[in-house]
Amino acid sequence: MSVAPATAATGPVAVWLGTASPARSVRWLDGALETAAALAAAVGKGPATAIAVGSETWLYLAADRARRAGLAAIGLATDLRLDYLGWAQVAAAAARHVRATTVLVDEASRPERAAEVAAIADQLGLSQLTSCVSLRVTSAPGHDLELVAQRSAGGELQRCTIRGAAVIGLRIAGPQIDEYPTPTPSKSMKRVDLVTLGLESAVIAHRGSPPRATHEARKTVAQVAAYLSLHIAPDRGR
Amino acid sequence: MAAVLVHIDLDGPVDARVPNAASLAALAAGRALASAWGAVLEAAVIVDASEATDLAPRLGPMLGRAGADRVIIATTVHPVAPLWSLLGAAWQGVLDHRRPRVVLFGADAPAAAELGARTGARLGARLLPWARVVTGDQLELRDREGAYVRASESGAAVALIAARAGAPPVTRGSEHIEVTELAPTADPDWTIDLVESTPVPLAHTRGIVVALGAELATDAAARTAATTLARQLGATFVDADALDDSAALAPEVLVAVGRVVGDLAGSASLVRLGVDAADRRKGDDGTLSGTPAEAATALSRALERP
Repeated sequence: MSVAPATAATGPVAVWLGTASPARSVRWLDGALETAAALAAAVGKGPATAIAVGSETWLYLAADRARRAGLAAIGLATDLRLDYLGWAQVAAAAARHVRATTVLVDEASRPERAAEVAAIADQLGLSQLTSCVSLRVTSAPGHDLELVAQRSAGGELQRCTIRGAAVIGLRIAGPQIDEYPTPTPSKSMKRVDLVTLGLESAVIAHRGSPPRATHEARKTVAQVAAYLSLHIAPDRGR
Repeated sequence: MAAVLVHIDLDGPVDARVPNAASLAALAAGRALASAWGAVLEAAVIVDASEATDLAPRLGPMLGRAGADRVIIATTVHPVAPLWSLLGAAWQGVLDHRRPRVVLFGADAPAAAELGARTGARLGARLLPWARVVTGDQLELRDREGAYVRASESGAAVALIAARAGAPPVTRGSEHIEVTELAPTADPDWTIDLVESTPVPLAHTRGIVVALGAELATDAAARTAATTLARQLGATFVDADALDDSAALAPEVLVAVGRVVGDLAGSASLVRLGVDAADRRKGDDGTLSGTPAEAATALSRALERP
């Protein structure tokens, strides 16, 4: 273990919810929001802010879940299709807009989100920690605030300390939820646009990502085997 | 053409460090690409500064035999653990020094999750998760969703290479290759520190999980087929008896043999075996019909083929 000198203090908290509704359960969205709310309460620099970008339907859902968790929310309605670096620019600009120095990312709700943790950290010039399965605050008397994260790494659980500004990817599930009310337009979400965030659409468009072909499930043994063979553990792969 | 750079994680105790198996699969893929594209293949290892003198004479020949044209030993003052905060300064030095066109990581290598996407962001590169080498009109890297990188394209790319990389491991490369030691140029990042690392069965949060439906608990054929499949994939086997409706599952891939309950994260891939055509769902990444035992057995046979 290394000795850590003082770094920038843990500050206001934001949580990046991404650009589309969770692909399956909303539990991980709720888990990220609850973690952000608890962290913001411990930090004591105002409520956490949820940041969502994308279609109106998604923004309604994000605003509704954020409100229930006690978070402020900002939303950017757009039909842009960007790669992970493009969305990271938008997320980083939104985090700066709300002056957040601790940015959480719900990386479990959609497959593309994991790469955005590192990209947002890079945009903000911050350190990063991916794949956290728990996050809590500790602060010894007379010392700066310290976060303790447990990180899933292969077959290991790593315990890490975070002292200062960082971007943290979360894989934390909220409570089970069978059904949730259909979200409706919400006044609780503050709307922003690219200009407000200091971004130019022409510049952002350089990170445009062409739409992929419609998702088709693999239905033959050969197709499924080819897909799974990519995930075979290394000691089985040779 | 700019270099193909492969990040190599090391396994084992201090006096017997060896390249990680997933990193070697990425190195084999890099060898195939570099040879086809006329590029130099460089392997970069980050080591504790106090170990560099001992490790360099061993790692150079080892990685040379595995196909590297050149080896870079980057040193760090941090303990070597797979976190960007601990490795980032040393790795940034490698990227600045080499300015690679393509950077490869073993998808299952310890540092890939932390360094892969950050490397992409540093280089402004395209990112290909779970990629392999595909031979056709021209050799290319292709990921599981069909995105690809070819020699004829401009721009940098970062790929996380699957263990079955589509390229044979190299065993007869030259042992006599250039080895360069590189000290970090960036300041260390002290924000995040690793306190401890504990081996635990985190079946629900990483890797592949093969889950057997509770309705098949007494079906010997289905159980045998599912456990065989799990063994082939190097996956964790989970009896769905152990899961209930409220179980939160977030592995990389869930292979459901029969009816498996629980809440699956949207980031996970889902392959369902023993599914009626009418029961296919929008979120499925793969489905096989027939009985669960038949589907799992057919899949096992297909996976045995290289």
